Amino acid sequence: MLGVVVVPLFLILDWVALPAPVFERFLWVRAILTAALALQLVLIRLTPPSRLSVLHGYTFNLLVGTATSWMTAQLGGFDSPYYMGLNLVVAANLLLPWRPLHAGLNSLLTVLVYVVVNAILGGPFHGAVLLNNLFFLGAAAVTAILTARVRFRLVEREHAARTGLLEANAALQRSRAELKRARDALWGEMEVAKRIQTSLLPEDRRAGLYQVAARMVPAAEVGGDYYDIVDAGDGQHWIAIGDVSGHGVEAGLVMMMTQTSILSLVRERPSRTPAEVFRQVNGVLWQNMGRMRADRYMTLNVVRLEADGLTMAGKHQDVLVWRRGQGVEAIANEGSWIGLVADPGPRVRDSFIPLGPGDLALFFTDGATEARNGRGELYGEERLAASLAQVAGLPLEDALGVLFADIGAFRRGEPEDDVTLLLVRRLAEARATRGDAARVEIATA
Amino acid sequence: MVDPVRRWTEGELSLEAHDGPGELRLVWRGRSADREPGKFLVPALTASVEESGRRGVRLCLDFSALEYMNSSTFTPVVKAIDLARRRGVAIALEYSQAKKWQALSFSALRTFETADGRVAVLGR
Repeated sequence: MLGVVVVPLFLILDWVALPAPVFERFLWVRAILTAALALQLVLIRLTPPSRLSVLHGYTFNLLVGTATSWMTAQLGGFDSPYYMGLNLVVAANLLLPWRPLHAGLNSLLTVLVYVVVNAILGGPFHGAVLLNNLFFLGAAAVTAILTARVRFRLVEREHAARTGLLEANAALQRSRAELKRARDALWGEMEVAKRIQTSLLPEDRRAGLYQVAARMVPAAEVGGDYYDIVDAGDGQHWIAIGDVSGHGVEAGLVMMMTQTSILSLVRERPSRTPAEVFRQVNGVLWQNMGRMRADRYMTLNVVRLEADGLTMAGKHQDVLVWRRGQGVEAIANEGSWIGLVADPGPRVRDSFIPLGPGDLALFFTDGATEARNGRGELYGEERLAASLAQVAGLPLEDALGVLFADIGAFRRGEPEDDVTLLLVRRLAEARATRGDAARVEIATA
Repeated sequence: MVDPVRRWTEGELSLEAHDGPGELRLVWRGRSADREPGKFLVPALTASVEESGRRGVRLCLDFSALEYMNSSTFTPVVKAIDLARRRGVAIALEYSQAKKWQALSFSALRTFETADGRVAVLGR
């Protein structure tokens, strides 16, 4: 582009300094040269950059160098100062983003053309003048080579930095994509684990002389809450409730192993006592958690529903028992947690909670009592007991709804832990044998 | 009580180590509600068990001033009991029977108690 502008511009100098016949010849030369450079510019614009792009630099210098050398020869050869224009041709190397080798060769080409053309067409000359001219052209060439060297290094470093940046960016994009895939897969697995956990939980049901209703509201991630209502056959019914320490898939797995173990044990031999079942489950879990290298334990109550109350073993939260005319009593249970020791031995014993017709027992997990309000206060067992007293006469499903609503109203935000409530109501025996749970609930209200 | 010789603090929970007669007492204060308290507690408890072993004194974990700890906090405590048993270090857990949650939770750990008193769980 610079050549297309500068070459015709020098006609001003020619018009001022040269006689008319010479100017006319130079006019034609400059016109043809400008046309050639314009054509080259079009070619540069239309062709993509490649290794051959350096040929444009050589072509430019060859065209302009030859024309300038011819004009120099026309004005007296080596003795003419018109050669000065060749310094500008050599200086064009400063503008080309190429290696110093090309800058050197291109400068040499320009000087050679000057020497050859003027030696043939230039006529007599003074050696000192030629030496002077070559000295200046050589100095311009050296300047072009050194500048090209510095510029090429800078361009090379910038290119390397850009390439590194692009590669780093590409690697970052790949890492983000992999992370997203891993996250999606993990969330998928978590969802499956949560679905398995909740699908294992039984529907509310009639259990012999008892009506049982339970509900678990899981936290955002897989928790470790567990409950079950088991028809063991032979008229035996069991319930169980527990909470695995911590959260996540591992806690969910421990919960599932517990559920499977209890179900198998009580169905295999319904006459087992709760303490026996607890110890057996503890043995299985102790072994499996050791294999998993899982640092987990689990609070657990295993409960057998008797004709006149609940026989239970294990260590979990207090059991809140509502009795007509007596209010709510919190009954502590002694024992051990699952997974603390290989064999808890005699520390795990059966205990008995008597229940009369219409009496109601509430089992819960710590997600209920440890719900916090905006001031950081715990919901607590006292509030839960008071709430139980309020709903003791309601059908169990309705009672659960009110209890959960009360906890939810107290709590700030979403639950951080699973919340499980399990209600067990002893039915009036005479009516219970007819299987009419609903009317019994109305009678106890 | 003498000034604590060492203190660990993480969030709302702090552990203060006190030298007592024949024991290293680790007093728990504040609340432990972190979802992964083991990252903080396991190194502190391991160091305390090892120090007790070196000095030949009993390690007493005193929870009676603690306001609250979640279920995840029991795992490092159980690990500390297990480590003390393996190292032959006497260890005692003291809790407040007046605090309902402490009585409920720590009584479960009585399953670790040994007849010779090397592991004791004491409600005060």
